[in-house]
Amino acid sequence: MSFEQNDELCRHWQGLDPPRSGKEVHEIMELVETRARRFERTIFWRNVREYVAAAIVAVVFALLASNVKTPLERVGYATVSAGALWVILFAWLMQRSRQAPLPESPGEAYKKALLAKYDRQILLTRTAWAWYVLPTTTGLVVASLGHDYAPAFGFVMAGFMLAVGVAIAILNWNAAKTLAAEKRELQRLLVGTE
Amino acid sequence: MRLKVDAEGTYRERYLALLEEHTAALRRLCHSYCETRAEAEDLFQEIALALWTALARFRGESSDRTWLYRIAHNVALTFVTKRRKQVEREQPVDNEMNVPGAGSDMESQLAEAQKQQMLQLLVRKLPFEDRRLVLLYLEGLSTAEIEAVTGLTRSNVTVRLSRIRQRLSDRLQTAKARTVRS
Repeated sequence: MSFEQNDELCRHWQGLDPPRSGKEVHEIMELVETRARRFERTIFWRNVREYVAAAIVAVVFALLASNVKTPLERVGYATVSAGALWVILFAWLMQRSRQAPLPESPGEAYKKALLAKYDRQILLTRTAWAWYVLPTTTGLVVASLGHDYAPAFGFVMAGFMLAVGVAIAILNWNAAKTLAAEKRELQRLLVGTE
Repeated sequence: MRLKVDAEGTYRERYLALLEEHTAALRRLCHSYCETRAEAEDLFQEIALALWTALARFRGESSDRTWLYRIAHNVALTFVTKRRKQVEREQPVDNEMNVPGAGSDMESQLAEAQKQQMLQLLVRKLPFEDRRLVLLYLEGLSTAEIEAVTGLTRSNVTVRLSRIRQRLSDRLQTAKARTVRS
């Protein structure tokens, strides 16, 4: 069965004239071109910043580990350094295996890819405490406890590091909840039919 | 977007031509998926951005129109998912599209305008999936093109579209009868 495309409904619909933004098409193109360039630049520099920051942390804590007096402190700093290297490796692996849904895909394929993207992002943020927070926080707590200053101060520092780690984990957990809500909304949209 | 300097002009020309040809249809699509005028404008820009980025990957495996509608509806899906909870703001978009009269006298112009407004409202009330199908149909895409845009099977498209189209026609008739009685 094929539909008569020039039927009354189509004629009515195509007669509708939606309000315009006041921008000409070439102005929209210039706007879009600028946005696309800015977006690419933002993503590039964000990635560079993250990798460089993690590399600096790894190097600085490796140097600290080689120059401290107590073994516990050395283990702590070495753990932080190894944790930062692990985060670089993990982020790089994740980025390499990432398959963003292409908007030019057929609708059904796009929906599947979009749902898969949500699953992946939810998993990554929900488990951030394990792959991102745990190694560095553990290292910092151990190093604080192993430092040769007054023990009470060491406990305070360890508590502070732990609190920061927990706060970061909670932020990631909340981000995962927001993503899960978005995924539910997407699923609700996709199953909704009269 | 990293384009060679000599290819940049062609790229821009192609993009402009595509956007110019389909602006009205894209705006109708945006107003059908959005609750407010500002939101519809945001969606239009998101689609325009996605088209700009995707054009570099376009190798002509499908027609321009199929390719463009795939992008538009897919971007709309992502947009609506993310913006669903932020809609309680600004003026509603209902009845905002201009409805130029097609008839020669005032009465037929009014009837035409009423039908168009009613159709617009009915389309906006449809669930997302049905709305996507009917929008493609209303913009004049063939069943084969709708199949290519949505990825649904032809029989699925035909059955669902037939049902939705019938329902829209019935509701329009009912609304028309009510208007005549009043």
